[in-house]
Amino acid sequence: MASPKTSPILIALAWLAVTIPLGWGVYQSLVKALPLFRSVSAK
Amino acid sequence: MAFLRFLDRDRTVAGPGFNRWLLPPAALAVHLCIGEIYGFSVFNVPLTRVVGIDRSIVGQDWTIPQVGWIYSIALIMLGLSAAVLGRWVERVGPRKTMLASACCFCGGFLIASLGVALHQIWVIYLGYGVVGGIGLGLGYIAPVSTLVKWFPDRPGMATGLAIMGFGGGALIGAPFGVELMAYFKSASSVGLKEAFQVMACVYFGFMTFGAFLVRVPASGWKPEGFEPDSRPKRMVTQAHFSVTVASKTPQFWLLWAVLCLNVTAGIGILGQASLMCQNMFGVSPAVGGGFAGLLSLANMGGRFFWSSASDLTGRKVIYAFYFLLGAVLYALVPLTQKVQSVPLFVLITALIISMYGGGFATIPAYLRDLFGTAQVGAIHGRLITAWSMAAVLGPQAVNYISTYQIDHGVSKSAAYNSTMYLMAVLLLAGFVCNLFVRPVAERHQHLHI
Repeated sequence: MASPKTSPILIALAWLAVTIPLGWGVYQSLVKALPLFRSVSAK
Repeated sequence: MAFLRFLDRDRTVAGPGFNRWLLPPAALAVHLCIGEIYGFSVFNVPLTRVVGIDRSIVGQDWTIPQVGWIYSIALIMLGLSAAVLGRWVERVGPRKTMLASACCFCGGFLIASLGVALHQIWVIYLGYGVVGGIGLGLGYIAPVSTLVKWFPDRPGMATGLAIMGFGGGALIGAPFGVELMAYFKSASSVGLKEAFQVMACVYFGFMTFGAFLVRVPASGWKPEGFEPDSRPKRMVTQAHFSVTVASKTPQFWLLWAVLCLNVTAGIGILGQASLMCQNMFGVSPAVGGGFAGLLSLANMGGRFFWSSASDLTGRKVIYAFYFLLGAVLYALVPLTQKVQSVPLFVLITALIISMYGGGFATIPAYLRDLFGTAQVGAIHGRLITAWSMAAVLGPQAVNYISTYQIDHGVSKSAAYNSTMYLMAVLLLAGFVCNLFVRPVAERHQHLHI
């Protein structure tokens, strides 16, 4: 008996589960890096 | 125990309809959690104020050097457990290993929480350091070796994805820890104990999700439409070497040196990015912190980008590129200080750190090319001892050199120049080691597994 194909929804949900926290972490780092960009653009 | 049979390797073999793109999220779920170790420094100051709460009380509170050992022990245990337990990992499969990793890593947090409650530093060494460190080692190698087997057509991209997660773990873990401590902080607590407990629960849930998602490919499986190159590549073996055989070859030790030198050189900047930026350019601590944040992003992005690029260029070529360009860029850093150009400094260091991350992420694919996939996890585990050693000794060396310079009259802004030249020399040594890497010799062929 052939095993069922993996649902694309399951794949999308699995990716979402890891990209949401990762995206939050990237956003936090960008916020932290803002003073650097401001300092560079002010020079 | 019969009810744990579902964790066995043979119960995790994927059926024909299984989509391999479920594997990267499974690997990322584990690596994004254990990568928290890179953000552990956010706990350093609170750990020195467990008694005093708003300030550290001399004689009662722990000191920074005492607290610093937690991170070092965890990294040493990461290397040792990966080296010693690598064969077990290959035998029992990724699901059992990832669950064991979750139990150790999160159990380590809970024991550390107890250590904070009792104010016993050795309990934290044992918890986060030893038990948590074992979780780090197990969780690091299992997803990587599984991904390599699922992506024979793009091994660099596969390992890059997983190891990018480890770099990204700090981006999540550090602010997450800070938010939790702020939430639980009170007049009688720095909020550490509770933060550790919440992190243990959240990370356990996330890592278990990865463990249940993971599968191993059936024997002989290959991606649809993928035909192995009919013209054998010189640097890619068709054989599979055991960890015992591999670790006796000069190739293994050359790659050990390559990883060790790459890590030591990268840590030269990463370890004290914020302070270095402040001392070299006189910027504020907030700007220095922003610089450190930017380097973390470059480190994470480089892991995926450069490792994926290695699928096109070949592993040996890309390492030669990392080392040569890295050495040139390191040698240019003092110039940026001389001309006081912050943008140039940021650009150069971000590029260096992206290649440092790339060096980390490309190593498992390099091992796969030289030794095959059968025991690549165990071989990778032994190689990781190079990282442990460099991560512990590297920052000490950099600190020592810059402190020595300042003590001998060199200005703070110029004190890092010698370190940068030393890092360039280390990268050149890495270039030479990489140059000597050849396909595994014929005399090892009879020892195939």
